[in-house]
Amino acid sequence: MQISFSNKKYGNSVWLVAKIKGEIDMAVAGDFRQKLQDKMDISNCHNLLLNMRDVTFIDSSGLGVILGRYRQMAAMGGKIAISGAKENVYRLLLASGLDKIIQIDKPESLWRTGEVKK
Amino acid sequence: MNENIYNKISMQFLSKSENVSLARIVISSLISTRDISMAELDEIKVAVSEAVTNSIIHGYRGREDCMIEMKVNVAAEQMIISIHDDGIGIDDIELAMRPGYSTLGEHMGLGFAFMTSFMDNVEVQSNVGRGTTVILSKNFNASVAQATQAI
Repeated sequence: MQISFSNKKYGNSVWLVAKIKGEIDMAVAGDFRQKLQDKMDISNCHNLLLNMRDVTFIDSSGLGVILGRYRQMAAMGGKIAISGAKENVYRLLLASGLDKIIQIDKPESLWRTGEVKK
Repeated sequence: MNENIYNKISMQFLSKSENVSLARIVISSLISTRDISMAELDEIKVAVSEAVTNSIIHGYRGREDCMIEMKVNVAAEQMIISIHDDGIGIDDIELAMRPGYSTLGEHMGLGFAFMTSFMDNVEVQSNVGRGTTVILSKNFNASVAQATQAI
């Protein structure tokens, strides 16, 4: 798993954008958590966007890290959002229920086939 | 040899976290030629990932020097994956399998929930102090099989 960061301004708010690449399972969950944590600490940014376009696999270990960051952001009055998830990753995000608390962009392939509404 | 068996493997690996992906790769390779969709293949990979992760973090409490055994039988209509550890075992299987139940912080308690929703059957055998075996079954082309049974 690789992760790179940037800051982007959307409207009036500044978002910390984390672009993640590769597989997120228990082998990298600790590293994933730590890298997000370190960047969130130094950036002092209360909005986190996870760009998951290049994530090829995720299981409950990776989803647990996202839930943990959501709780942290929510406690500070911040927001977290997910963009670019591929179909398999998106289905896991739905199965975990994270879509109920985190804004997640729907994969184009799914709304094109009518599996989900745009 | 049972002619019904398409392929069969038995492997043992150390309870290291990097071997979770090894288990997934083996499963992908074994079943990529079978009649299943990409979505189903991804779901089976998640189920295997969860079972091996459970063996490492719960069964062996994170120790990396223990052995996990994975056996896979692939037949024409079904595959059976068994994942075994000689770890601490599960005291209350029903409680452990309840969605949202977790004994560890920042874990979602979704491992067994994913296994049961993504596979056709999940069986857990466990003896406290002696280990756990999780048996995951998946029927290939389930819709065709169900339709045939209905006739």
